[in-house]
Amino acid sequence: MKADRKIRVLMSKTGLDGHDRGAKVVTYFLRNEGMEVVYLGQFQTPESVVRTAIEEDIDVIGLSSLSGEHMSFVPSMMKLISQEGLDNVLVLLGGTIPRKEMPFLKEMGVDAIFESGSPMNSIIEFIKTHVSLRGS
Amino acid sequence: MTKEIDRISEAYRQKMTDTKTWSGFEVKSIYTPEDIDLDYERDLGSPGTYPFTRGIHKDMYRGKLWTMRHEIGYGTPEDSNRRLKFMIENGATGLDFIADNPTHLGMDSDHPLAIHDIGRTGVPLTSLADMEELMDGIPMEKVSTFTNTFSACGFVVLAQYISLAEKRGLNITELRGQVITDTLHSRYCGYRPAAPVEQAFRVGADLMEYLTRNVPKWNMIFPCYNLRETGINAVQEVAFLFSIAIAFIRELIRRGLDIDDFARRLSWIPSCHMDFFEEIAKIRAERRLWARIVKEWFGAQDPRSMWWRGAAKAAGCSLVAQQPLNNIARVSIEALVAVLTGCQALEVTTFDEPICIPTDEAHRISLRIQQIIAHETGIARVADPLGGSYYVEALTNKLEQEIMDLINKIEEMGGIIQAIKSEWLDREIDEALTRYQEEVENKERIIVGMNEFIIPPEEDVEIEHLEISYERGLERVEKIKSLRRKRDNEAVEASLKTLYGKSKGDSNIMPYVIDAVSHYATIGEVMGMVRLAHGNSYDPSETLSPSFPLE
Repeated sequence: MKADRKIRVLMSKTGLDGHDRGAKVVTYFLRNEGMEVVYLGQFQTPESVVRTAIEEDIDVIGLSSLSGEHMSFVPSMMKLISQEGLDNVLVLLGGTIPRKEMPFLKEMGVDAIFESGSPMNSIIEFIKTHVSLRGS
Repeated sequence: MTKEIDRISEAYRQKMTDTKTWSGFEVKSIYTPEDIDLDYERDLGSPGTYPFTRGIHKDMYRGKLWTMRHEIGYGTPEDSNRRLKFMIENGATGLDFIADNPTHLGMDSDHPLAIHDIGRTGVPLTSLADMEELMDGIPMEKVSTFTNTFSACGFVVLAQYISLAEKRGLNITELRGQVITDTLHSRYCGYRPAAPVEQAFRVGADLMEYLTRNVPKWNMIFPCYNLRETGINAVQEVAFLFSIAIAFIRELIRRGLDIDDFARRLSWIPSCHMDFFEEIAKIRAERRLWARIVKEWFGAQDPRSMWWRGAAKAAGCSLVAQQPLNNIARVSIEALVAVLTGCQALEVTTFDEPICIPTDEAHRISLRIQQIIAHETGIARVADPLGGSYYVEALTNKLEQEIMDLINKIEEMGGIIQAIKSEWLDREIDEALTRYQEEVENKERIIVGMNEFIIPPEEDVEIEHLEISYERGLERVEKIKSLRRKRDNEAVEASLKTLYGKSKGDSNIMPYVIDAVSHYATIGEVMGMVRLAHGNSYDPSETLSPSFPLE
């Protein structure tokens, strides 16, 4: 990764759920940190998220899930990510994620899970550390 | 241990440093008679007397306790029917079901984008067949039901309910319940694609007019709560929703109704948030202010038209995923706000809301909290027990003034529709939610277990959580496909075409919606007609188009 290139983040909801407060807040804080954030609105599918990640040359995919839909959405999306060879893209999941489901989601390839209430700094630090590691 | 000893000696000297209310108003350390300028008759009035600051009924809870109800909806209509009955068995006194995400958006369970969302955060209500299963074994003539679909598609769900009542041979003029008729706020609560402004306003006004003329005991709800959950403050919560209600009142009057024909059926869902006294003052202020607005702005004569009736809800967004049992304390404190201010109904949000769809046990605990307040504490014995407190009255005055100023500001902008179209309201909400989050990050706001008094996750309690299986969603898709084959498709098509034609004109569309629904037209099909007639895409996601030619 070139040093002057800004970190590019795709922030999306999964599926039809409309609880967008978390995704909006995280977007705001990441932009304040100088990251470029592409914010996708409702009606995303695993396909549309992955397609946009490719088109927009994204470093980090951030998914916000509040209704439990991640349990079917994430496996489908991770399969596509692997098919498309996007192994360098960091995948983060946030929102209402029961702790019991976290091991399964990590096994699916999610790099980090930020349950609701996570400090914004923990998300920012994770992205900064891991994007630069992958880029080098 | 040295560290802990240091901590305890430091903690011993802790002081109250947070001197501002949730909404940012600085308060003093003590209030005296100097702080309130009150005329008892003019500003408070005894309960049951204008301006109803102290309550709308003379005898308050000695006449009737508040209605205890909880939002139910998950999985399938059968699952939700079982939960409704579980709550009735446990002593709930009102019914309340909430639709799932696809239904809120006006999309059917077999919509290609819906599969991950079926039965999550609510019950799927694609057609009348689902309503039949949801209400199976529940006597609609004996219960009061809140058909809680708060998007601009809620009128279709109510049409399913009315159609089912007609099928059961019931007199719909006797039906009792509540529906959210504010179709504008949901664009800020996740359902914008389903709520183009002009269309949403028209269907909301059609619904209100229809209910006033045909189902006169049905209450029309403006849910301040939903908008508050976006992160706005107490003043904004009331001012925005009052401004929306004012827009609908003007429209109904334009259509020839008199304020006294319908105003007594308006009711409100105030949020009961964590800042105890500010929330109490807010509810008392809004009761007084609403009475004045309805009387002075719209010339109501009937005192019942001036009643601000509250169906309060404990704030879901005040609950946290960390150390979740603490949420039981939070919602209990919030529930006290509703009871101490004399609300007419209450929903206590479940402690597991930040983690999953509520389990049976979580719902029962919420109900038990209400029953403990009602039957063990004696709090409900006396009306407005905090009335006359120097602090509460001073804060009530302050909140009323702030709310009124904001309503006037919106009026000067040309009213709420203009404030929505110009995206002023979007900016207000975004500013509020980012400011709130900054305060949480800086620990200007302490949230126990979340940004202070934290424990490692492995020490935290593990709670049971409800899973909604993907396979159940697949079964739903098959069920809807089968319905489409079995129903009388000629009747469906004819009724939808009529609805499309009526939606293009000025007539009230509700009778045509009910007719289409009675033939098992789906919510997606009904909304498709209304959307097309208003110049919008058939499908909010622009994936589907009508299955037959329209003209």
